[in-house]
Amino acid sequence: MMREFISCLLAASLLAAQQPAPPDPAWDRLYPNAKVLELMRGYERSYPGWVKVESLGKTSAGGDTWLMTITNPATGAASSKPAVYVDGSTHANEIQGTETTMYIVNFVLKNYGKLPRVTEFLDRATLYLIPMMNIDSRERWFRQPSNPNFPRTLPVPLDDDRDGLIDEDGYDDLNGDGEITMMRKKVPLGRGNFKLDPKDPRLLIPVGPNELGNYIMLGFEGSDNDGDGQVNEDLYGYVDPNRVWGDGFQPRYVQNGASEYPLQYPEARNIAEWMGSHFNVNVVMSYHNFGKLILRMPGARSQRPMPQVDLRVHDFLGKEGELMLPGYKYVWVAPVLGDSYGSSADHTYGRVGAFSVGIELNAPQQDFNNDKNVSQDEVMKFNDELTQGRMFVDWKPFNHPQFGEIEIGGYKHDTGRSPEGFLSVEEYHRNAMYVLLHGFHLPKLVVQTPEVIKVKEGLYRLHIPILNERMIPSVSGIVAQNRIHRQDLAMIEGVKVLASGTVTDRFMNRVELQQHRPERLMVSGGIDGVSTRTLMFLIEARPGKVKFVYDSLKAGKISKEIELP
Amino acid sequence: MFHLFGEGDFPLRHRFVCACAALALASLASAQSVPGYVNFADGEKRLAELARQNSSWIQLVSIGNSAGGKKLHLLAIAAPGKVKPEQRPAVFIGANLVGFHNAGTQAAVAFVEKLAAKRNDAAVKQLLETRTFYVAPMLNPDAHDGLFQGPKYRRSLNVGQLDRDLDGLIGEDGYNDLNNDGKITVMRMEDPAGEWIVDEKDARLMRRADPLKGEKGKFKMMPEGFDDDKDGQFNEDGPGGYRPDRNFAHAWNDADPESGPWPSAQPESKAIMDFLITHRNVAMAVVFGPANNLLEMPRGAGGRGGDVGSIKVTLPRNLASATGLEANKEYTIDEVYELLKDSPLARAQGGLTKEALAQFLGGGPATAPDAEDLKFYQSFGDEYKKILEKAGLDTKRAGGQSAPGGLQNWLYYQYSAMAIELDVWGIPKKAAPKPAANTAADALTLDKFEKMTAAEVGALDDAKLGDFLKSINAPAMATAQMIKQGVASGRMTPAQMAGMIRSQGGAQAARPAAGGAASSGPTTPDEDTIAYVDASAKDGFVNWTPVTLPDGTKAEVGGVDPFLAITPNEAELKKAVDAHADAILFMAGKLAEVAITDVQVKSLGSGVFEVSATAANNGFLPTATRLQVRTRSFLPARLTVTLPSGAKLVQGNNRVSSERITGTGGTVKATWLISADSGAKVTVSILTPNAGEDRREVVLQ
Repeated sequence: MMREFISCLLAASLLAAQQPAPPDPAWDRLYPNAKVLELMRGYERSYPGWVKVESLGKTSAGGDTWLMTITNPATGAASSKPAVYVDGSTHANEIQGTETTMYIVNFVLKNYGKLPRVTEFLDRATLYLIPMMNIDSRERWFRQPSNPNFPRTLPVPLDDDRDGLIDEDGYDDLNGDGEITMMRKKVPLGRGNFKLDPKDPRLLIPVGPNELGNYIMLGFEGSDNDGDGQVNEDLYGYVDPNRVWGDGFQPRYVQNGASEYPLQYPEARNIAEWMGSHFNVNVVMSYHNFGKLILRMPGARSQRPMPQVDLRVHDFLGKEGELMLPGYKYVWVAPVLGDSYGSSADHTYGRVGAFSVGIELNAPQQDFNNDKNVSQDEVMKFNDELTQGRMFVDWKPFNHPQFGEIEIGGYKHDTGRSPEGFLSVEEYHRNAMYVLLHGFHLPKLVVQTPEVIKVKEGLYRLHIPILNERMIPSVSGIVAQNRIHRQDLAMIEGVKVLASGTVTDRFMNRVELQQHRPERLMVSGGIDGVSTRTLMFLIEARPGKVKFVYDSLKAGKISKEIELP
Repeated sequence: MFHLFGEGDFPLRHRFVCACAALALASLASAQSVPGYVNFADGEKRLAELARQNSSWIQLVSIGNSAGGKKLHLLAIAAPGKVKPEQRPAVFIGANLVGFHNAGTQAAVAFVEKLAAKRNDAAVKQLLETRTFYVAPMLNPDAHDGLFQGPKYRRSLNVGQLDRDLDGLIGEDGYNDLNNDGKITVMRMEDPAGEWIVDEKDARLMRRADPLKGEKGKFKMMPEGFDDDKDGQFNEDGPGGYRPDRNFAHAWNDADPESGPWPSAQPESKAIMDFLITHRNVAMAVVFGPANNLLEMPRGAGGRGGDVGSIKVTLPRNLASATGLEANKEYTIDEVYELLKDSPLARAQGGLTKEALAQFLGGGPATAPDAEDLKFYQSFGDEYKKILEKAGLDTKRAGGQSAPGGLQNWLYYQYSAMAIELDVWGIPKKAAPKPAANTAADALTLDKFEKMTAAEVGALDDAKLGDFLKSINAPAMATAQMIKQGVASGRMTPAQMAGMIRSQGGAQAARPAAGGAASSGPTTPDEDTIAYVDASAKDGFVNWTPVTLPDGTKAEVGGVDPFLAITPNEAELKKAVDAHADAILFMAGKLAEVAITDVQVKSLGSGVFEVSATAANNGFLPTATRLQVRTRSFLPARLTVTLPSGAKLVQGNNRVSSERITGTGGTVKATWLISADSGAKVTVSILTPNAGEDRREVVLQ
């Protein structure tokens, strides 16, 4: 009580003191890296001690892996508390993952002390964020001609077409409008597989089986830069930062986008090394787009299935997500999006023991006729009516070095995958609340009133019930299966422990004894979500106080003084 | 038989801690010299000296540091020649990544010494001028000196802090040298629940009691040491970090803390891979480690190699409906390929390959060496055995298998080079009495079982199948009936079952000391060991001596010296390393080597010329392993034409690729139609990453 009071005072005084006003960004736009970093630094300045911004190391093209750590410093060090980790922009073109993380930061910092659940969160938990995972390619998306799908991967050169030249035939902004849009060509009737949409000549429709076409699509804007008869076949990059992780890694011939060995590049390795010494991370949420999905692992059907104890937690949080995020589906990723190996979620689950999900933000923005399908007409209608044509670049003729007379046009790079500004704040907010739901369900252990039995003079039997008030267990099932780190540890300090164990039936007085070393009781499986586990100690002690300690890498360390009669 | 520090590797995760035995150790901890072997510091000096004395063709470089901060040295060896060293076909030789295989270090150093000594012999000179050798003799510096430190045990961990028994305490329960002999051997304790009895044939040996013969176990056995942390386990958490030799991504063990927090996490494994992926001129790799791939063919975990056609897949619903196939039925890649190869979809993608289909349809990774590649292992093995026999070394002993998650596995399955692990030396097979007729030949072995059809397995005699299961140490629940039903149901083929047995170490469990003899046969491994001790290594066996553990328990300590089975004496070592230098020279002469063999120019009139070119592989090995055709981790061989300005291709791409040109005269051909002025010169080139390059200029007329 006293501690909470002091920490509130401290918080209030920090806010009231001469700290610069915290950033107050608008949420209807996408922010280039420098602006994001400025926001991060701004929060750090406004909330000294509460926010820490640090680099975990350099990235492939000279950026940094910026980590933001947020907690109430008065209630314990960040690394001693259970934590939620959130990242964004693993795929550089999935831009608004970054803004989603910044919204969370802004919300928790400004509502501490005002909203009890936010206050509880920063008091007892830590929030780690890496807003710009694939930072160098994200920068390129803003600075150089790009499209909604590009650049996506790490900024490392790769000889995609295996001709001995590297990244020599990428997209070209042929018409110099700063966008990589599409190329189409009108051809004599019978040589095409598309025709103009009679209602809207900006759109092409595929010809039917008994119909002749007079248009062909030629892909994204570009030419044959290396004279090999192919267009755009060796783009900048193609190592996918979400296919390079260590758990379940498979090489490129099995998993496209994989690196030559797991965690070869610093964008992922910086995080893996840092998280390998931060087992207090209980939850990992990676923001991607697109499709409104909450994806759970494992990434491939051939991997071992998730232990049931963990699956039920995932299922609970996933179903809650479907309620909090209308239109989102909680799914097992492999049968829906196909097998994938080496994702960060597989790694942070299998190697750290965290409950890990990938979240695909956003979906086509309006289904005007409510037929559960957003057609190209509807996307165009949205462009025309709700953005006044902001999204689409009209087709213009161009004389192409290989294809001759063509037309270039299509959707701009900052459309489709990220919502239009007027729609974005609701999605950021709902997702931020979903992160806080995970924060709420971080394990919260409470030592309940112990039962103290005086067996005889100097010999006591203690039954100590420990309640986990929230859904996430104090140690996940995968930790034991993969031998990731130690299980929870229970001890009574300063006394001789003759026996210890877990009470399996409190009415029948059944105890599963630990066969050896009773003074260090390893609580395998920890304390399940929303449940109580009772531990038994048989100790030699004199009347007075003894200290019980329960030490969990994931749930934190708690203790209680027990009075012996 | 009890494995007296068995297999080619260390079977149990037990290490030494000096906390409780510090006094006893003080006198032993000082370095000891072992004739014929260099410790890390002396090894560094020797490498520097070799580089200094041969500075025109040997360069000493460091490719990284160990976890403990020691350098990972590599000698880059290439005499001046026509082609730059980094563009010549190269052989990588990496030794003692496992840490306790010091004979491997000596073999790597001896190879370089032999090059230096024979520098002017015609054959060696020619190799040095046309090849590059990358030799890294001490890849696990942190563990390297285990051979020279008391108490001796097989160290393989780098420097680090690992809680391998996951109890929150680090390095708190390692070995203890209970009998103060400077070696960690094994310990037997009388225990009514024990499974072991003294072998009646030789009182030095222990064997498992056979309850079916009415035998009752008398002892339990474990490595030497006591339960320092009183948790009921002996020697389960000694000092040290991780095993770099188990930290590679192919078949990595995800539930063994010692294999690393994730594959490629260790500085040693990462440095080796970083070097190799930036040196794609490597065509062949020799790993000196505890297995021998030329005495015993690599098997992997069973399953498939480079041949993707027979992989079974199911199709996603949308593809199934688009192709008229069934969504939940299994098809082979061959079947799907035949249906789709000429479809508009495939044409739109610029052609379809089986490899691309296998990737798209989730065919999974290769889990066994490709049969084509094994032919070359076999061929090298035949010559290798001749070289050993000539040197008076045994070739009958078994070679064991390279470790899952190890360097050889990564080199073959992911890097995709011809990768050969060699153990340099092992305890020779005792001269065998003639096997009793009709027993050994008739018995079922894993190799035979693997090749059987389901019907053949169904027809097997239950007793014979039962004997087989026993021979592979199958759990009691695995009965002959169960195996037959499993195979008959079609849920698993005999080959898959064999693969599973192997991947779970079933066959290895019955495998002997020192990567030694086969699991069945006229002599058992420990008899070989004892015969070797009696004949050549009197100090190699520590006689059982009684000790008392700190808690009062009585036990006896004894058994084979931990290094005996992998560390020949100086004279044997000299023979073995010399023979291995010859073997590497032989194999290095067999690498693929491309050349332009023919270029024809024909004038078609109107300034159009037809240029037809042929390039051939004149080496013995193909330009790529068969598996590489699937993994595509090296660039293909490319036959290209370079035109002068003003000339242009009338037809065709300027290059033709071949993923694999077979050895001994395999070819790749290309034809170009070129529009150019008469008298113009064009250059035809064959380019490969690791089989050399060649160019020829021709005049169009």
